[in-house]
Amino acid sequence: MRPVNFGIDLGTTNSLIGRFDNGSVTVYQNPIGHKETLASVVAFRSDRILVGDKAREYMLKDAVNVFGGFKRRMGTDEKYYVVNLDENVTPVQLSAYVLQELQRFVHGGEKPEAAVITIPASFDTMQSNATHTAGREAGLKEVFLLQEPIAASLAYFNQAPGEDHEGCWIVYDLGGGTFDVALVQIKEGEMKVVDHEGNNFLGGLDFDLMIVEQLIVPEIVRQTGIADFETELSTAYGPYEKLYYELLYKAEEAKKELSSYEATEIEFSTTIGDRRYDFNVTIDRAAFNQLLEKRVEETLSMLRQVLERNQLAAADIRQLILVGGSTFIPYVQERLELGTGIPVNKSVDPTTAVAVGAAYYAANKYYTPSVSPVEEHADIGSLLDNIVAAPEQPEEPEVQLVLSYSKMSKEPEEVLLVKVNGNVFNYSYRIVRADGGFDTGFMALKAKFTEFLPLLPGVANVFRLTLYDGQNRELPALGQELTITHGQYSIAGQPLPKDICIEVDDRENHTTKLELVFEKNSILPLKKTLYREISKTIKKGSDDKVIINIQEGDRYARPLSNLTIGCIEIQGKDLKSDLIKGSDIEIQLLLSDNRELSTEVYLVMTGQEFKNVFALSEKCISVARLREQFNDLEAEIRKTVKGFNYEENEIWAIQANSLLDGLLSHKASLHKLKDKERSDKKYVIAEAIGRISQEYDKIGGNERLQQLQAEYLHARDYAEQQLPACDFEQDRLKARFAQLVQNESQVLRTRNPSILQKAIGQLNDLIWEILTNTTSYLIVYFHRLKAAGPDAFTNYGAAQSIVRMADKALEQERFFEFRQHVYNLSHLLHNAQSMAGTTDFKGTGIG
Amino acid sequence: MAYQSLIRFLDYAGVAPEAVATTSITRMKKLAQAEFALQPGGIITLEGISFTSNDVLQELDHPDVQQRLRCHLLLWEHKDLLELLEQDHLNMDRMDQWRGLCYDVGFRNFISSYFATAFHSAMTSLLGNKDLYNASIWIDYLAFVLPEDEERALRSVRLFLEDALKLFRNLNDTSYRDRMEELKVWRDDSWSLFIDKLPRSLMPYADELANAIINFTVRIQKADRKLCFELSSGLVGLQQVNYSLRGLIRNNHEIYRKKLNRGVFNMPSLYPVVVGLIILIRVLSGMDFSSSSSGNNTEGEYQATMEGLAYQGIRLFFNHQYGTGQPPARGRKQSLRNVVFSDKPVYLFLENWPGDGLSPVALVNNTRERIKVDLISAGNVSNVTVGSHDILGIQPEREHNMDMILTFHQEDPRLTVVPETKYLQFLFVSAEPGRVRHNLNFAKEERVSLPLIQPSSLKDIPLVMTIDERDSGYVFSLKGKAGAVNYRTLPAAKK
Repeated sequence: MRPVNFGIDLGTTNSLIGRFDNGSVTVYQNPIGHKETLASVVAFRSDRILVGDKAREYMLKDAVNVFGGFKRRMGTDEKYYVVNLDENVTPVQLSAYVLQELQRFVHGGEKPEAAVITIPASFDTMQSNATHTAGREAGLKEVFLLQEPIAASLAYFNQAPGEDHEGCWIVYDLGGGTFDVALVQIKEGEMKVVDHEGNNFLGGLDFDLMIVEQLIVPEIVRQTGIADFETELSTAYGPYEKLYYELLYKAEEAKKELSSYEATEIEFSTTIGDRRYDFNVTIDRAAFNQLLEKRVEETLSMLRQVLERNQLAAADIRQLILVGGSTFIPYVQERLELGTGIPVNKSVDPTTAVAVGAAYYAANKYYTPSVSPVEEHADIGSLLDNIVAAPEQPEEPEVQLVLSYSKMSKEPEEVLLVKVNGNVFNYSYRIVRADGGFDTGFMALKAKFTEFLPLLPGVANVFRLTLYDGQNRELPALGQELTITHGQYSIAGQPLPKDICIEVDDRENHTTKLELVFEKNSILPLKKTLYREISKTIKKGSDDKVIINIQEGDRYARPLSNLTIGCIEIQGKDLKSDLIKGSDIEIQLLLSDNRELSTEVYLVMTGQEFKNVFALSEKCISVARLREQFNDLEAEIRKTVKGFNYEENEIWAIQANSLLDGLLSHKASLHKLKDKERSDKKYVIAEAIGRISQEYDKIGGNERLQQLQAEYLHARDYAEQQLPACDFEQDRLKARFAQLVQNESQVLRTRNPSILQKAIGQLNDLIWEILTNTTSYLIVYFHRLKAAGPDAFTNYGAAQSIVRMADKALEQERFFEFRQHVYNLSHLLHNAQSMAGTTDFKGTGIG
Repeated sequence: MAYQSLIRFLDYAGVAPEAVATTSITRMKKLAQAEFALQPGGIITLEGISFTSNDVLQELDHPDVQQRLRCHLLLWEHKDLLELLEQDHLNMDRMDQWRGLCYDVGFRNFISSYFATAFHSAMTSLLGNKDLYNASIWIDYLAFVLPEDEERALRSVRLFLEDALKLFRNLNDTSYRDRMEELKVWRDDSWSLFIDKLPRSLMPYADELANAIINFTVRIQKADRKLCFELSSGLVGLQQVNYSLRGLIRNNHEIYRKKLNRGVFNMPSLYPVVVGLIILIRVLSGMDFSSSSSGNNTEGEYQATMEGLAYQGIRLFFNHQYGTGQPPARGRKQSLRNVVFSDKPVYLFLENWPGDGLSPVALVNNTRERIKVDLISAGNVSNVTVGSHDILGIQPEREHNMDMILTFHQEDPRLTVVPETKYLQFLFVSAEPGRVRHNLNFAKEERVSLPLIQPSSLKDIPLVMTIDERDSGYVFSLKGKAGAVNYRTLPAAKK
């Protein structure tokens, strides 16, 4: 096992590589141009592939063969057509080119075999898997992923090791294409990322696009009079392909200039129709700031959510650390200072922080090298010399030491764990600190041993582990030197960015619900076995199926709001025998460090096992499906708003309306979307729908849940009270009541308002049934109907005739008949609704 | 929620169980991190149990880590319980050994969520095997589960009850023939013990189920008298159903019993002349009443120490099948025939006591041993000792049925009491030592009167139970006013 040591920041616009060595990190410079950053741009020339700034230069000359910003499309099924090659390339391949190029930065002949690559905290599993794949395609034997806010935190806190960092911090990372905000807690010298929020489609690229769409295009339209110019400009391989990229390039340059100057000019010439136009668009900082306002406000809103979720006030946060190129924008810094009340810290280099942090993390990650250290630097001549020159050396034992220790520590001591492979008999070891302040003395070698090594504060502590044979002769080849830098933070592992849930049936409510498997912020890897029951009988050979649907997202959200990251379908035809309802199903889930999901399903009844490893790296977004989901969500929120207004619950109505507004702001773009859309819009909208859907589920928080719980209990008590008075079908209604309340402890514990609402709805339906089977109620109801005017009925004549028959039945105490007349009468009412019909709920088959 | 023993992991990482209390949490965390750093997949599997760094560090980061470590150690010391929680393996023979842990409040709080999973799993297996006798024992272990975890623990019970309800509601006097296999479990009346032990949250099912079975017995009373009687016998055992249902059950049962006797047996002489007097005998293992104080043939004392013995909770049993002499299956543990009742007590259950017609009752101890008698009537327990060659007079004032638990102060352990009859019903009353289901209500007006009976007046006593010592062991005989109730084959003790 060897430490990984290399850390890579694979950015949307720029990428970097760093290496940890003896307590410090070196960020490598590009041999060409000596810059630390490599532009994440790939250009396909007819004879070669260019990566970096050189490639970026071709964006103006040969836009169709140059690609940037592909990080945001990782995990999608997007493909880029390369004219020069006449073939498609994927975001994964493009990322692999960047990663390969970064490896060339490493001088000294060393070729990284393993590396830590950073990803935005909000990257979903598919995006993470895609990044992992890119690393492997770039030739890395092992790839470890790390979330960018963790990397940035490690970089920041390790740059000033002596300071007291105890408390809570916010890392605000606004990069070229993505945004992350993380709450970092340092407690008793231990650093943890406690919580985070983020948006994978919020960054510098969006600002560039806004400059083009909202400042430049209107000027073009004004001068040319072409109303649909924006549509033509954004159409892939349309007439203004080159101009589109040129404008994006110039918008980026203008954006950078606006960080230093109050105004800037964008000059360009193009032919539109048959006419040549020269444009000179002046953009001042105020116009640019106005453009950014909404998006920056979104970041602040996410920051506030993190604080709120963790019950923290601004005063509880020590500082807000800025990371990412877009935090250079003065407006962003101003808004953060004014909008949060948290002191803003700009001391970390926002460009290199993530790569530096990744390297710190890499120092404590291990991989198995493909060749042994001896073979790696083998020089046959010197090896032969050694053999000849050292005949008196003691015989090297056939043992191998595997060491595990943290190279950074805030503690006064650090553990060293040594595992010894081979025969340890008669050998001994000794560990000495370089300054002589610690010495274990000679200790008998064991197959596994640990030593707690005392550390001198604030310095790199060097220890020497030496092995000795039975005659106390040193075995130099097996000796090892360990350096542990005191005062620096290490992090045990990276947290899971979102909850991982399994979709199970909620048969009572004819829907499905999510059950938590792995909780957000748990440290990867994670493993769990679920023991569940089959909720419906599946006949051998039938088309019925059990669906094991693993989702990533918020456990309290509806399944619609989350992303499916793994799915196993077991059909009747896969079964050896019938699968009876209530039989056991064991589902073992393993989520690796790189968020690769392995699933093993065991059906106890049939003795069958189903296995699958999900390493999905592509997310396919259907525009048509997106529209359906959008419409469903819109309808649901509108209904809720109506309900809140009816209940005069203004605050929640405002919140729901605000979500509705947020949703509707994407409606026009969604309807304009084309299947061959060039931009990231469909992903932006998909992300927005998911986010709004999650927010909608949480609206009203605990208060709403408590209100719904009270409403549920009230309905239940009322139904229970009314049941004994029920004159008809009492047994059936009692059974129905028992059925409805049997799972009420779960219903009352739910965090999902829609489940409670459904349960209340069912109880209300039952109450209505009870009342309409209670003679006393029917009599009152009948008299109300009888008193209603002709307008109340669809057929007043028929109603009158039924009223007469009902009167007679009542008079003669023929209550059963009377009940039927009342029913018939009620059906003649305007807006009469039939009783709830049966549902065609199929569910997952897992109860 | 599956349990993983932190102690198992710490032991692997070099912290022996005995050193856990003295090792700092920081050191434990560092050792754990060092171990996981060396694992390529980040998962360490020990004896089939997988650990991740998240599992271990989360536990060590718990605000209540010291208390939890105490509980982990306690579990480590109880390997059977550990095996149950980690591997879902329940050893019913040894679960008494860890039963008392449920009284440790901190431990119960700690274990509840894990135990709920294991409880459900074991219960699923027992119910799946239709082993309601053991399920009725296992359900007592719900004491380890906090109310918030109860729903999860009882999922399989709820499902079982729902299926049972569906079964009885949907069967008619012809369709039941195709479902005899499913009905099998209901023919053995140990199910009523299980139903009576249902926790409060599931108690509504008891009435529902009783109703459904009553209705079903009515439907099949002509088609299958034997099945009807068997199901009814189970119903009779139900104590937790509402009062009106109990009355209905008894009345129906009497009818079914008579019908069956007419149809199946023609041996009226074997049945007590006194209507409804049934003597049921059971020798139980594991009961310990020896700590109870006793009186000497005096009026009963209501002993506070007997509170652990709950009348409502301890009864149940099964019927010896009429006529066949074959005891029904008793789950996987033992069959009646094979068991050696090396310890006592003997239970006598007098049912349908016909008012004053049999009062007082005399119990004559013709053995050389003292016999302790616990009289259970209307939820009260009176406890007296009948000395060697002494007589106990019993006169219940209000309730017309009564249990008596006879505990022999047997000095010769080789003497064992075995039931040896094929003609009688046996009522098996079970109880677990130390179990407190609910406190008994010792209402003064429901006491049992214990009148003094002189040997000379025995001939005038309406019912005399005599326990004689013979060479073969103990023999019971009953003599009644109305023509001798003589059970020649009551439990005999064998050497």
